[in-house]
Amino acid sequence: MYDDLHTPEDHSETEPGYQPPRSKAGNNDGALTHQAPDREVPIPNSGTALLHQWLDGDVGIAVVRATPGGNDAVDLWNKIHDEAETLRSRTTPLYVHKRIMDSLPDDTYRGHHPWYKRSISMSPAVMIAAAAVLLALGALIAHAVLK
Amino acid sequence: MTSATEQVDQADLDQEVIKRVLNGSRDSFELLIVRYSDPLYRHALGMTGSPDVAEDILQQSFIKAYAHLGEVRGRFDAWVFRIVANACKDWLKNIRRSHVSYEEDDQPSSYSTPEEELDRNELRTDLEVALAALAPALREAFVMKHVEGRSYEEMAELLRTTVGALKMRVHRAREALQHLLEGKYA
Repeated sequence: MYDDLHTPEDHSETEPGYQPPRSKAGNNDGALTHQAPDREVPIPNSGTALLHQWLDGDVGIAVVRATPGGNDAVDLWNKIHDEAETLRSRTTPLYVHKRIMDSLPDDTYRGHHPWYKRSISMSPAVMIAAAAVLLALGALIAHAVLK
Repeated sequence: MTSATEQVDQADLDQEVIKRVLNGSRDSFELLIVRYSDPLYRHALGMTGSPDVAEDILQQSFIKAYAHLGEVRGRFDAWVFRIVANACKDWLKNIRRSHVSYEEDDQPSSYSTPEEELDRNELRTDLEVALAALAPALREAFVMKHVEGRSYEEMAELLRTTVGALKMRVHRAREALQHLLEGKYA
């Protein structure tokens, strides 16, 4: 689920000679015009573009560090990333679950179905007792009819 | 990341629970709260910077979800996420606060030295101030991408917009944050 800000150093796109696709965009005006509605991302200078690509997990960290000011940017984003990790580990305090349940209205869906359509819960002991009563009642009625 | 199959299974389970709640089993709603409260709480916390506000937004959102449960079409988690996300944006639009911080809660510290904790608290405060300066839509995109760790595709599905539009928001948010923080930390 989580994208990693720290793309491995051995990313294939970090190899010498790799050129990010966006740096070629200016040479292909026709294609760029055609694709523009889907991108909606302005083309920044190459250092910024590479930084975004690294933060999106598309290029390795070494590529960004090699750009002017890249080391400072990487260090800053590593700090921000550490802070984001702290927030990412947060969980809902347990009392909040209870607070929400306590604040739900009791009767919102109770009246939606007639009583004979609602499910009921019954323990096995009650079920056995009810069955015994019904059997006894049936036997009494049968006895009275056959007399 | 959860697979598509797991998501479908989860959606089926959610539909079962929803059916039970609509049939009058109020207590079944707690299953949905337990299942989805953490990512929703993190979103609200990232958007508001305040645990108290995040808890209130979560509570109000689940009450609203309960009241309108019969209107759920499609995935419950995406539906309830939009309720929380809208509540967060409304809060940001209506209440302009100059400074809020995660520090007001009593989560245990995980830093090794008091100096490290001091540095991190300073960064946390500065980051929160910088996030508060962003437009709600930019903050939302940044929080979803970098705090919640969602993919652009997942964000697009939840927010019902395009991947391109979200990339633009995230890029703008990053550039604004970098501009605000680099003088001190870079």
